Amino acid sequence: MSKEEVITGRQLFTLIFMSQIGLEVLSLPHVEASIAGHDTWLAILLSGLAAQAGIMLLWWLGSRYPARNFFAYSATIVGRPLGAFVNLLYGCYYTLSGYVLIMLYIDILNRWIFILTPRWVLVLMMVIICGYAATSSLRKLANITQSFMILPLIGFLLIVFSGVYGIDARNLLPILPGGWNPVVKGAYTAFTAYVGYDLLMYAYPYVQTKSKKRLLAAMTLANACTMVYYVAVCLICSMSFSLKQLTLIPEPIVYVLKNYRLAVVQSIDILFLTFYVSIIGSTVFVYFFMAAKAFMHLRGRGLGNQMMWIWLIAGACFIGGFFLKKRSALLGLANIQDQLSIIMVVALPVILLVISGLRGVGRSKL
Amino acid sequence: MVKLSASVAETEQYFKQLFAEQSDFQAKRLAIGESDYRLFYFDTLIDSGVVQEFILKPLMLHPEAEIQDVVSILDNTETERLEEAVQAVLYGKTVLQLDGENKLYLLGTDLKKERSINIPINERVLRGSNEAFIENLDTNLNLMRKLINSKEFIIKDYTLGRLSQTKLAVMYIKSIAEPSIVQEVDKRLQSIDIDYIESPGFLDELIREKKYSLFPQLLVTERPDRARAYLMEGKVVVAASGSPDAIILPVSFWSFFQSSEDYQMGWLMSSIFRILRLCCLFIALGLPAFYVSISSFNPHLLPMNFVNTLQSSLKYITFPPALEALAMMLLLEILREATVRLASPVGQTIGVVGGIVIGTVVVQSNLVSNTMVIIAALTGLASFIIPSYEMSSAIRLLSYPALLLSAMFGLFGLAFFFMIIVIHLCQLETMGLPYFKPPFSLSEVKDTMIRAPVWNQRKRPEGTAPGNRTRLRNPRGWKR
Repeated sequence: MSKEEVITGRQLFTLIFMSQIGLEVLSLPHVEASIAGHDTWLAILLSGLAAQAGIMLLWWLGSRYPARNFFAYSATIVGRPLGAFVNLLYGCYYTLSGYVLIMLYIDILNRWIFILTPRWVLVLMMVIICGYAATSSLRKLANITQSFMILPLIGFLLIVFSGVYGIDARNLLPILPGGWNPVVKGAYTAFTAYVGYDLLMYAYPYVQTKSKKRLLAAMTLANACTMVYYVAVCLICSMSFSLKQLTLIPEPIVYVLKNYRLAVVQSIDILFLTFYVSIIGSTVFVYFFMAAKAFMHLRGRGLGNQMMWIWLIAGACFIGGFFLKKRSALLGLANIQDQLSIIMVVALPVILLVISGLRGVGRSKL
Repeated sequence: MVKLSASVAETEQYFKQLFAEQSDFQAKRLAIGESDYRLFYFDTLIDSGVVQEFILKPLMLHPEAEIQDVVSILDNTETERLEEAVQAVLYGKTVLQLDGENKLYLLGTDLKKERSINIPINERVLRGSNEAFIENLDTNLNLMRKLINSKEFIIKDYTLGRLSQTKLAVMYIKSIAEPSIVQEVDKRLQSIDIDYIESPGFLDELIREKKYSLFPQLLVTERPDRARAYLMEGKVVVAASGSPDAIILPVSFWSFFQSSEDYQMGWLMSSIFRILRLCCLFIALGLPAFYVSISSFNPHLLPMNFVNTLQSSLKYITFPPALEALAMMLLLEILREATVRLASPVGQTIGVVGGIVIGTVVVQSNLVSNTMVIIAALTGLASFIIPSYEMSSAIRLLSYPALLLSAMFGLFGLAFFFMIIVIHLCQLETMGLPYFKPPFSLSEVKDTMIRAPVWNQRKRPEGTAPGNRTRLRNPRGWKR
């Protein structure tokens, strides 16, 4: 294993946190409003616990093959042709995820900041950033996310301070009016907000911690931080707006920020949406990176190099940027991607784990 | 490979053939008693006083004695290889042969013409040593040796340049420096195959990893005390003859914001100045761009009365803000270049007068707004605060693409630019170590963003000195 790929537990924490935090900060309160209503925060807590279970699952799977990454041992579990197929699936899924995320963010930009700018220019900029970052090794990727780490923190502070004005805790009452049913449904919807922890599938063998429990601790901490972030955002939105408002407004948190005025900065929402590019970017380039790694493991001895795959994927996303003109079509695709991510991040690993357990090919120290 | 013969006439013929066109080559015949001597030298290279006093005189006085015993010159080697003698003559040595003896004596008689050691011009400090390196390598090594009187301090010699035969010295501290890095430096220096070498410029370009990056990846210093400070962190220092600059490698991005004065003042003060420098980095990179994106895209980002002030100064201006900014930044760059190139007494006057006259006239004629002049001046000043000249130039040059991007996409363009810069920095490496690492733990912040107290920096930086990291054990032992 080259020194290039090894990361510390701390770097794993940032990578996971940054790839989990995504667009849902803006959209989740709106999406959940019609499902879980005012109990959104409960739903998010639940799905955070579910994500923790997912992390345990991947950690377990990884610890069976401690020396290799997921795409390398998938063929060991299900045989060579099927393994290649699984990697291909993952590659396509991650490419699609990156594409959808870019499109959604640019949709927001188009509505808030760039009313007249042609969309393909923005897509090109996003693709350049994410492609350029994703060509690096895992360690450099971790360094990049660590550099961007300060922005979500600033964002969090902004959200909390601006949200403190004009909130009413009575908006949260009554708790659980419709029983647990809508909350569980909402938790299912909110689960995709936590997707991003699946980077562990690739990163597991490259993390250098004192013990494998430490690795799990870093993952858990990242997941907990993500959970706190989402819960805070949703609580502030639910307390600032009524349900009816939330179902109408696509990005409630931006309105909250718009209301807040500092002595030196008047529209924080523009600033927030602008530097949000780094948070979206870090999620997308992790997706691109995973996609490239999946494609590279299509063959046992490797296929192509990372640079080539990344720019192919980025090119595909750029060309994809000319399609999906309608917002409804985009949202439809995003929905499909949500369902897919549950299959790819939870269901497939479970199946593989079961097969691996049955075949007993684990513990191989290759 | 020409065989050395015992007859001086043949040796003389060989040299004469080799240096047929050299007017300053001398082959001096010297007959003392029975013995026949020959001296070969370049009279432009040797110190004739030394030759007369310590070679000719003793030989005359003791005609019977062995050459080794009478010639009183310290740098005195024997050889049987003519090639070596040829190279020695070119370095300014005098080659002596006695007829009938099958060996040559190489005597160090080179003329040392050098500047005296004076104060550093490019890295001024108020506190701290006032010695600077000069062009003579031996003198520089002497300065370094005097600063570190330890057996651990290693100096290795290299000769680079097929034609120029430039002497280089690589310095490191054996017990601290990471051996793999020393080997890496060695490997890269050995592999350089070039006719002549210009240090530090050529060296920088020949041994850096990424060929196309604006950011300087080697730190150049003219201060011995600074070189020592980095040696103590496990870094390697390369000095070359003919250059008053030593190169320090591998350095990280943060090293370019350290000044040797930081370690002379109190830690709180220097920490504040360090943070000021980092703020200035952002100002120099992004202030004009930020101003342009605010004034042409998002004026509502600022409070109303501020925007009104801005607008009133922009009222009669014909050009768009982006063009204004570009013009002012270019003007500043022209002034800087002019003051550097011009003779120093003229240069300063031109700078001051040009700046004031151009600045005021440009504003009064409504070509450029007042605000823009302030912004341009502030940007320029901020970039000059950065201690390393290479770094500050890189930052200034990078502010142009930032300006273009924000002129096209406003704040989003600026964010895009900063992201690209950060990604680029993270991808750079020097000697296999990451060039830029965001300080993410306390130990990493200690000498990057701030300058932690001396008694608190117990560990050396991880990258360059992984083996021997303990810097101090009980620095304040007097206090129970």
